[in-house]
Amino acid sequence: MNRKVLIAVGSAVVGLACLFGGDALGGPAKAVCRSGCAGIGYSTTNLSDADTLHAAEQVLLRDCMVRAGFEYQITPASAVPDQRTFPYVIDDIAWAQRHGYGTDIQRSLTALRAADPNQRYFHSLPAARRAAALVAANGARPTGLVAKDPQGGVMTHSDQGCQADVDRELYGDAQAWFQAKVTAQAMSPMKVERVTADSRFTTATAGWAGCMRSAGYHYDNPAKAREALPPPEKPLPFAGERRMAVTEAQCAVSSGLSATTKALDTQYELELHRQYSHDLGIESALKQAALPRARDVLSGTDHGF
Amino acid sequence: MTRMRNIVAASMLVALAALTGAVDAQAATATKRDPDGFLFVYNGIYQLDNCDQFDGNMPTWGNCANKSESLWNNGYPGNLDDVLVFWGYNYGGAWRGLYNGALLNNLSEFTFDYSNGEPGHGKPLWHNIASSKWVNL
Repeated sequence: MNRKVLIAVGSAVVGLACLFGGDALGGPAKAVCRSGCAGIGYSTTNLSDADTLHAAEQVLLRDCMVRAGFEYQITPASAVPDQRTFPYVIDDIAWAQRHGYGTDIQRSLTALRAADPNQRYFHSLPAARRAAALVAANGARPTGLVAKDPQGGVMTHSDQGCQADVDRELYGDAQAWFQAKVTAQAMSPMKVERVTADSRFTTATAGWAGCMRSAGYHYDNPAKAREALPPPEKPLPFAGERRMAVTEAQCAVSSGLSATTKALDTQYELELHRQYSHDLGIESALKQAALPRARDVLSGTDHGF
Repeated sequence: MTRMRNIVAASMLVALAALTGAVDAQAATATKRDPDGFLFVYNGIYQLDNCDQFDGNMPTWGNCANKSESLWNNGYPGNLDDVLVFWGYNYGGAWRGLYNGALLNNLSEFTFDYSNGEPGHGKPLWHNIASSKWVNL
């Protein structure tokens, strides 16, 4: 499930409190909030398209679960500030100074799952109710929807349950959306693979390694540096982690590796979009068609039930 | 990064199979446990031979490490309900994401992502997963 970070807009505090199902106020998500949301309405003016779709998915999922007799609390997506990924090399010096290699963020994410109200609610249920809640959310069996990723791998998902119902409601065709999502989500790993296989990346990496060596870090490439780090449960003392990460970022900038990866990233993103233009066009069309429905859901004018 | 593989254990299983001819029959009748909100790990394709089901982050898959052939993420929806599976123990090496609700019936069809160039990238998931972590993809 796509879980882009919801952007909390200051002017929509009341709407957000409602959007989060009363959770921000400390109470569980109940059907009563749904009627409250419909009464208040929710402005999506300042939400990105992705955030609008995500928020609508969450509202629909909550309402579906409530109808099935369960609670589902809408929580802001992984709300760990500054969470970022660096698929090639850390090249944000300020970020590296704050987080090193990000082990603090990893610890926060682990704590977030333990504190997640939905996981806690689920685990508080008796075994029979847990099973029923899963069937309500995920369907009884992971069959009915089938998608093939660009490399040929086949994955399936239930066409029953609230999550499939949400996709059907929002995107019109759960099967088409599942396939579109699988294809779109494969693009990023494919792009990274192409970038790192490019000789310009390899050349730039050699310059980065020379810079690192002069600072006392003997790694041929960023992957080797990551590999040398201890497991996240036993991280380096933070000062050491930060020193190494900052050096990695400084070297990425000064050696030109950062600029090279940005250029290659753009180039291969365009290439992949051309190569998979048909499938990605379907994904884009499904999203565009879903946006008015999502805004209606969030504004409370059409809950669609 | 190095990791131990269950070569000895695998060899013993093969030997046992040869002696008893029982493995196929066992796999065919392997139970599919009721949904319980976990990552389901199977030693056979198409959800056969349920090895274990993991609720929390698992730095080691124990007896299931490097043996899985199909995977089902049946986690309860919420924050961090997607899964990253890793080539190495302790979330080491390359990874691949599995979205909430998704089933991979045959791991030989999937490979680990580039994953910052970590060891194991590009290798098949088949018999190569050693740890897992709940994430938001």
